[in-house]
This record gives sequence, structure tokens and C-alpha cells, in this order.
Amino acid sequence: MTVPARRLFHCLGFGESALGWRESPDRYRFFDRMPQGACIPMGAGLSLAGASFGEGVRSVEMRRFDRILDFDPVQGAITVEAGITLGRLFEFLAPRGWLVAVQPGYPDITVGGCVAGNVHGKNPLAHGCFGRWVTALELAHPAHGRLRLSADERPDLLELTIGGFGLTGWILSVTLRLLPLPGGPVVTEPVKVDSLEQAAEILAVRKDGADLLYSWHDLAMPGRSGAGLVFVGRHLDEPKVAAIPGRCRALDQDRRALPVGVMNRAGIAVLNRMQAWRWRGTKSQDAAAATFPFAANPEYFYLYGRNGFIEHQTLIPWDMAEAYIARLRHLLDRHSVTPGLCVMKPFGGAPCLLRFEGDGLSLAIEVARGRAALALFADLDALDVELGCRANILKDARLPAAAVAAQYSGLETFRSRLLAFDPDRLMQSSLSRRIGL
Amino acid sequence: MKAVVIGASAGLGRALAGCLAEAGHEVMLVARDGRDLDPVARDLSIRFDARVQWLEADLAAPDVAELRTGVLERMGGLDALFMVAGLGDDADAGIMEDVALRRLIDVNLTGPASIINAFLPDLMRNGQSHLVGVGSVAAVRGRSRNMVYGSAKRGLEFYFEALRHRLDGGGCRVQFYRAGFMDTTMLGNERPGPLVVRPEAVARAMVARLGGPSGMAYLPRRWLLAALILRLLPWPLFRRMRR
Repeated sequence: MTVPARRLFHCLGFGESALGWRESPDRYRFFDRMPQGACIPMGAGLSLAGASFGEGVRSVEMRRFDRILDFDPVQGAITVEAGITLGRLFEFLAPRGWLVAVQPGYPDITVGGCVAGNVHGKNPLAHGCFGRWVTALELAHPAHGRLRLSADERPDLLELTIGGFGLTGWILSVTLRLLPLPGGPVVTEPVKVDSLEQAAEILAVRKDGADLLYSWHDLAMPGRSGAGLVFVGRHLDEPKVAAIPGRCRALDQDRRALPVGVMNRAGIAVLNRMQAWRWRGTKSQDAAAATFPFAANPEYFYLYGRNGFIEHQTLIPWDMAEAYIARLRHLLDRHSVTPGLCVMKPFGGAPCLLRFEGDGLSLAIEVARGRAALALFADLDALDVELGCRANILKDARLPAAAVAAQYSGLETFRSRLLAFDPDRLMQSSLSRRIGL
Repeated sequence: MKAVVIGASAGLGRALAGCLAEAGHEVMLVARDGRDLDPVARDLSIRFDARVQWLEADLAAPDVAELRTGVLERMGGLDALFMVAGLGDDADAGIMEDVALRRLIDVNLTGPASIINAFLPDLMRNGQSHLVGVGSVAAVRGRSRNMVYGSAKRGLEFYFEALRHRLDGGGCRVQFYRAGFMDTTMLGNERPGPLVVRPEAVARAMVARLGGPSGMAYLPRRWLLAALILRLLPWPLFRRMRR
């Protein structure tokens, strides 16, 4: 018998913390046991909100369940255990000419986490979110045992589990449809823009036909026009075997974050100049580097220091984009907050329950944590509601229950379906408690 | 080579099975629960296109005759037996229940000895076979933690020395490793510290040393020095190392 270890958990950016328990099983008999007290599955533990831990909650790491169970190289489908990381999966798939369609930028993220968060990748418009590529799941729940979920078996529960923040139980295995991997490099061409509005226009027009499309903005300059770059990437199909990701450098903010952050307006201005310089020309990257841009430089997150950062990502209806940008600029000035990062991308998919999906423009800002940042984000919550936008629940570590209730019409349905499946609510996290689930 | 890995469902055993499959060997995975073995077998077959099978056996009370028949029937013989299984217990500090204590000794000593004993004729007949055992740096000196585990592993090590003596000059090479801390569930649920290595690293070294010298060695090698110091530490100092 091993005893769970007491541990203080932080989400990425230190936006949410809790003292809980950590358990790291490696045998299936673990899931036979009825847990004592609240539990929550943990993938890589890298989400920007407290989705994989909670006060007094047992976080059960799934990383040791990381095996490939089935692979169909003809149809392009794979079944894996939930703890396998995107990096390891890429290593297996790339030489065989296949690719997971939707991948966040960091290779240590697990497939189970991608399902529970219904995450998006670099082209949510063309590829939707992760859940679109999931054809079947195996779920284990202490009260229900092991369950197979697919379009034919318990489709309701499958729907609830994709983007369900791990609240329906342990995701044991996932079956994914794959995309053929073009053999050539990803060629990204930066287009200079003078403002956020100009970028939004380009994103709206060019949204069809690019493999990779997003914009990056500098909001540290006086006037906060948001000059920046729109990246238009194309994956060339040349007969060449794709490269394997280089060694991923572990993201360990608990140990390596600077004691004091340097992401103030001056620091951000300097960093932005450096970034703009680095990204000035057309770039040709192999598939691995283009898939996992954050693998090479986790240091970025350490620059915010021990105080950390919080992120807010909003999905804005296209006709509200201009109004949103103007109001955002005004709010940034009023609260004297400079985002360390501002990224926009065109979005797609179908809204459902608490998923961050749908047609529109996604705008994400990352700011150093502090009183001003919290005041700004509170105003952004009101702005989101006013303009009919929705905030990404998984990325905002302080998003209050009221904002979720006002923005997500699916909240009540989600809650009642979850309660019907699990009346004792065995799975809980800081996130689920904060948004009132 | 046809290799049998006892304790192949997780940790070092699973990593070792991976290294063997990658090197093109045929592998038989043995552990208590088929639910854990089946995914390992599938994973290795898919990734390395290797022939990997599995058999269930509980080391606390293995039916060794059945296991031996199963292995020989399915593989048609064996060239290497890897005894990797190990069981630890967080209560193994003088606060363990009798059932748990007996299980600890059975899984770490009695079961392994009984399985090796069953396969001994096959290994001796082979002419060019390998018998590899895994112990622990916890068996270097009796400490207040891992009391029973350390004793059982020390017993296993003694048995391996005897096996080496018995098999010397024959075709079976006997190797035993005192493994250092690895990132497996043996470590409990604490975060891995600086001394902890990935089991894959130890497994790779074990496979690389297969044709190498018989006898006992430390893996990773740096534990030799640490163990030497620990061994020579005078009692007045050693008694202070209690947690």
C-alpha cells in the first residue's frame, strides 16, 4: 500500500492553488477501489486553471498509463491510454505519416487532458477542437465501473466527458481519428499589421485555406494600437519523413519561476521587440517544431515570477470584434495593465455544454497577476456578457460562477446531467467548485 | 532471444520488456494482473513489431508448474529469465500488519526463488542462457524504513549469489543488480528527487550488460560509492539517519 502524498498544487501561472493529495498509480486495480473523499484525474497538470486539483482533493496522475493499444495505419486511427503525452504520440505517428489533428503547443500535455479540456490547436477553424476527433473512450467511475463510450454506446456521457473537466471519472483510453501528415516543412509567413482591428480583418478574410492562422500583438507601445504580426502558415506536402520532436524541456514553474517577475510594461516592451525581431521573416519549420512551439522555450512562463500570470481568452462574434477591441484598449488604459501576450485566431466548431467552441474571433491576453489584473478581468467579464462573448473556462483561473452562468447557456444542462450520472459528485476540483458545479 | 520478464506490468519490468522488444527479442510478460499486461503487450507489439505475450501469475503464491508449462508451450523454450518484480509498502517501518508483512516477503523473496527454481533445469540445459535478478540499494544496510522489504531483497541477493556459485562454469550467466531509486510507484507518491532516475535508463543498462560480467553491480553506477559509504558508516553515525 502506498499513501497519497500531501502537496500544494498550482495551475500554470499560479492563478489558482490548493493543498491536496497526489497519487500516481500504475495498475488498473487502482480504479476498482472506491475512493475516500473527492478525487480528480490529473494529466500533465499544466492547465491554466485549477482543473486537476482542489483543496483536500486527491489528484490522481494518469501519466503512467501511456500505452498504445491499437493502431490502424490504413484508416488512420489510434487507441491510446489517456496518460500518453502528445509528444510521445507524435514520435510514434510522425514517421508513420500520421498526425493528431488538434494539438496544443506543449508536448508534455496528455491525451486524457486534451479530451477533458476539449482543447484547441493551431487551426480551430478548420479542425475544430479535440473532441471532434474522438470516436470512442473508455471511462472508469467508482460507482459505474468501466464504461465504453462512443456514438453508439452512451453518446450522452461521451458528450459530457469531452470538455467535462474530468468530472465524469477516469478517462482510461481514447480512440482518435488521425490526419495524414504532409511530409514537408511548415512555412509561416508573417504579415505586418498596425492594429488589432487590421489583424481581425485579415483573419476574417484569410480564414479559409491556411493550415495555421493566428496573430500576435504588442500592446506595450503608447496608444496600445496593437501593432503586430499575422502568421499565415502552410504545411507543404513534399515526400520526406517528418522530424521527431527534440527533447522537451520540462515546464517546472514551481522551482524555476523568477523570484520577482519582469513582465511590467517596460519588460514586456523589450520582450515584444525581441519577439518581433525573431519572427520578422518567413520561416520554414519541421512539423515537430511547428506543432510544439513551447517545447523549446518554457522560460517564457518563468518571467512572470512567483506571482505568476492569469489569462483570459474570449470567443467574440465576428460582428462584435471591432467593438470588443476598442473597449479592450480602453480598459487596458484605465487599469494600466499591459498584456505580456495578446493572440487572436479565427475559431470554429459547434458550441455545446461548457465547451469553448463556435464561430468567431478568439482573443487571448495574458497579464501579470495582481490587483489591477483582477479588476481588469472583472470588467472583461462584464464586457463579454454585454457583447455576447464567451470566456474559455479552462484558461481563466479566476472566472467566477456568475460569468460562466451568464455566458454559457449549457451550464444548467451540464450540471443536471453530471448530477444524474454521479449523484455523490465524487470528482471535484478547484475549477468545478469555483464555477459552482 | 526468448526472454521472460517477471514483474512486467509496470516500473522497471515494463521498461525492461520495452528495451528487449526494441532489440528484437521475443518477450513473455508475467505479472499478477492481465489488465496491466495486455496494454504493455499491445504497446510493444505495435511500436516495435515484436512478438510479446503475457501470462498471469501472482508472486505471492505462484503456481510455478503451470507458469513453466505456459511459458514453454507458448515460447517453445527460454533463453533469459529476468526477475524484476518487487513490492514495497509505506507501512514497512515497523507498523505493518502481519498479512502485509508476509505478502512482502512472498513477493520479494519466496515467489521469485520458487519461480527461478522451477525454470532452473531449462536454464541449465540451454547452454547459453541468462538469469538476471533485481535487488535494491535498500538492502545495503538495515534501516528503519523498508525493514522487511530490505531483508527480503537481501535474501534474494544471497540466493542469486548461491545460484551463481551453483551455475558457475555452465552456460547460464547470473547477474544481479542493486537498483537505485527510480521513478516508479515503489517510491510512493512523493515527487521524484534528484537521485531518482527513469526506469528506462536502468533497463537499458541491464540489456547492454547482458553479455557482460556475472555477479552483483549497482545501477546507476554512482550508487556504488553511496552504498560503500553507507556500508562503512559507523553505528553512532548510522543510527542518526532515521526519519
